[in-house]
This record gives sequence, structure tokens and C-alpha cells, in this order.
Amino acid sequence: MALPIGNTPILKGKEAVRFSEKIQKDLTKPTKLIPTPKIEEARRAVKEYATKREK
Amino acid sequence: MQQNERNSFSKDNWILTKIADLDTIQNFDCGDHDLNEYFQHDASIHRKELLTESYSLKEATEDFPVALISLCNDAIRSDFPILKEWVELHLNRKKWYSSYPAVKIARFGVGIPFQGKSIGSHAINMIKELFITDNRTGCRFITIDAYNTDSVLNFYKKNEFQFLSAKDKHKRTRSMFFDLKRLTL
Repeated sequence: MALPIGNTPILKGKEAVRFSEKIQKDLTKPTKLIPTPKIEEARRAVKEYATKREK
Repeated sequence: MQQNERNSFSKDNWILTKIADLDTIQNFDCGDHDLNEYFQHDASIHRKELLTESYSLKEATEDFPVALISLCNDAIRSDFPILKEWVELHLNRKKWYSSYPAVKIARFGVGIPFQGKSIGSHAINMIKELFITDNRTGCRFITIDAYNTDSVLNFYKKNEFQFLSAKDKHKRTRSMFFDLKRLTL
């Protein structure tokens, strides 16, 4: 058996306040999707792997 | 160019889709014993128990997975009796939620031949997009219990995840979150 899925901790006291402040403040800092510069290299690796599987 | 269906999300000829038959992933190897064990054995048990659903990331023209992801519902909760009034008073917030709906990445592994080639971040990007697109229910955060190793934590930090608590600093895994509301496409 693999390890069980971990519980997300329930935030209490100062951590709960900090979390609330943080998510509010961070809304002013939007994020974008992360660049994936090697994704075409990954596609080539997939094709090479598929070719090897067929042999 | 992207196309969305329920339980399936495609982007740039990569497809993230729910795995219909979990027997098809028995040969998946991401190099981590616990993750392999999970996908080969536990994923089907968790599906029967309605605990997690597993998804595969495939290149559109091939039939084998390059990465596997298991997801379950989650929430980020705060538990502090006077917090609601404190937050409304000090943070000038009219609305205070003691529980935010989330989706948890229960397990995530990239196949050995495809590691180090941006597949992990591409899969995370697709999960982010999937959960802000045509949702059945509200979902504010993505959560993860990340293995507490530099490489794993740095991967999630690079993907804009943040630590949820400092109390798990020395534990085997660390809880991290990503706020979907911050995402702009």
C-alpha cells in the first residue's frame, strides 16, 4: 500500500490570520501560466519512446 | 488552440483526461516507489471508495501516459472562534470564509523517459486551467502535500505554489496551495 493521502492542516490563530491577509494581498499580484520551454523536447521524447515500443 | 470537455482538457496537442480503465497504467514508472505503488494498486481502490479520480496526460497522437495525476476534493479551513469578527474589524473585510473549497493533487508523477522536459509544469498548467473552466462546483485553491525535498518543493514553488503552514517544516510532506483566483490567462 502506498502512503495515505495527507490531510490539509486546519489553520488556527495567527496562521489563519496570516493566510487570510496573504490571499487578500496576493490578489493584487496576478499570476500567469508557467512557461514550458522544453515542451517540444518532451514531444520528441514521446515520439522516440513510441517508436521503441513498437519494435 | 484548446478544447474542453467534461473530465478532459486538451491544449497544444496534449490531453489531460480521466483514466477510464486503471489497468492500462500498470506499467507506468515515474521512478518513485510510493507513487508507482499508488497508481498501480491504490488508485483503483480509491476510485471504488469515491476518494480520488486519476487522470493521465498524453500526447494527442499516442496512447500511453507521460504523467499521471490523482485528484480529490479538499478545503482550506480556518478554525478560530473569534477570528471572523477580528478579520472583519482589522482587515476591513465584509465577507469572511472559514472554509475555501479546493482540489487536492493527491499524487502526481511524470514517467521516467519524459522527466526534465517541462512536462510537470505543463500538466500543472493544464490542471490550473481545468479548474477555472466550466466547473461543476466552486474551487478556489489547488492544494498539494508535497514531499519535503528540495527538488519537489522547488518544483511547486516554481509553479507558484506557496506553503500553507510553517508547522509541517520538518515533516515528511509539506502542505502547499495555489490560489486559482490569481490566475490570468
